[in-house]
Amino acid sequence: MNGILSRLNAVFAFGMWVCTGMTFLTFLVTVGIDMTRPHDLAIHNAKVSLARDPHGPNAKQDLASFTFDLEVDTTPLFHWNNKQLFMYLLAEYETHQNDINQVIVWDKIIMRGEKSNLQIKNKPLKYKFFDDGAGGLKENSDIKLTLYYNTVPNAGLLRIVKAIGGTSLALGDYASKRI
Amino acid sequence: MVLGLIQEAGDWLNNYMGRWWYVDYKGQARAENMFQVILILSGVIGWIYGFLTQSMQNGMIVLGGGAALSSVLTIPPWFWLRPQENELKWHEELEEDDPKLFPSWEKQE
Repeated sequence: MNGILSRLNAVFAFGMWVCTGMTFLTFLVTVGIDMTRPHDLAIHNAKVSLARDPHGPNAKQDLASFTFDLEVDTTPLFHWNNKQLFMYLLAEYETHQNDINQVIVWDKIIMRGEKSNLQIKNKPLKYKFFDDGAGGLKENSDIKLTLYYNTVPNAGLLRIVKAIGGTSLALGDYASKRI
Repeated sequence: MVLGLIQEAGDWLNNYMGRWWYVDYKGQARAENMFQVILILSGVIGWIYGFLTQSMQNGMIVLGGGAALSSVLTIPPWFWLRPQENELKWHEELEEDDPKLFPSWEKQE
């Protein structure tokens, strides 16, 4: 404490302690907030076909496609310890090959301060909905589609939250005769 | 009279700047108390302000202001960090070959 550099060091170190304390208090105050929100999801124009994935194996695989309407208000999620939401639409279904299949078909990042009340109409899929192999999506009547999101805090837990609601999708036979 | 004043000011400046980095023991304790109080106060105020405005950034800005204020008040050797300045008696300056600077067994004849 007798020199300028030692006082600079002491002020900086103690300031960091106070900063740590503030951040930890913020974490304690915000960790208990309920982050689940309801959402409305509707599916249109669902069809399934056989196609070759350009980034996948050579054999043809089941490919489903549809458009969707999504309504979710995430404004209450942006409290003072949340800077970003990473939302994604997850399809979960069962085939004769695998008991658990999870495919992300669409995602969106909402930063703090951006428009957070989403009302999306007739949106096409962002990522191709390929099944692992052929015959899994054809005439599959129970494909659950749900909105999930990661909440990204300034300090705290990086949580994966399943939104309340969701819908179920039933697919028919292949749309095109070409196999 | 003006010349006398300039002379006095020059003496004071010379005396002050001759050991300009110096703060005394009680001044060190005072500096530590000052920055601890300022930083904790600004942290508490900033946290409450951040909670009210729902923005952690605002709270950190208030804390940064407290850090800047305490740096300005305690890092340079201000006069309030020298409360013992008048109590401490300094030895007068010695020549290089002054016998007081040598131990007794090396006393120059």
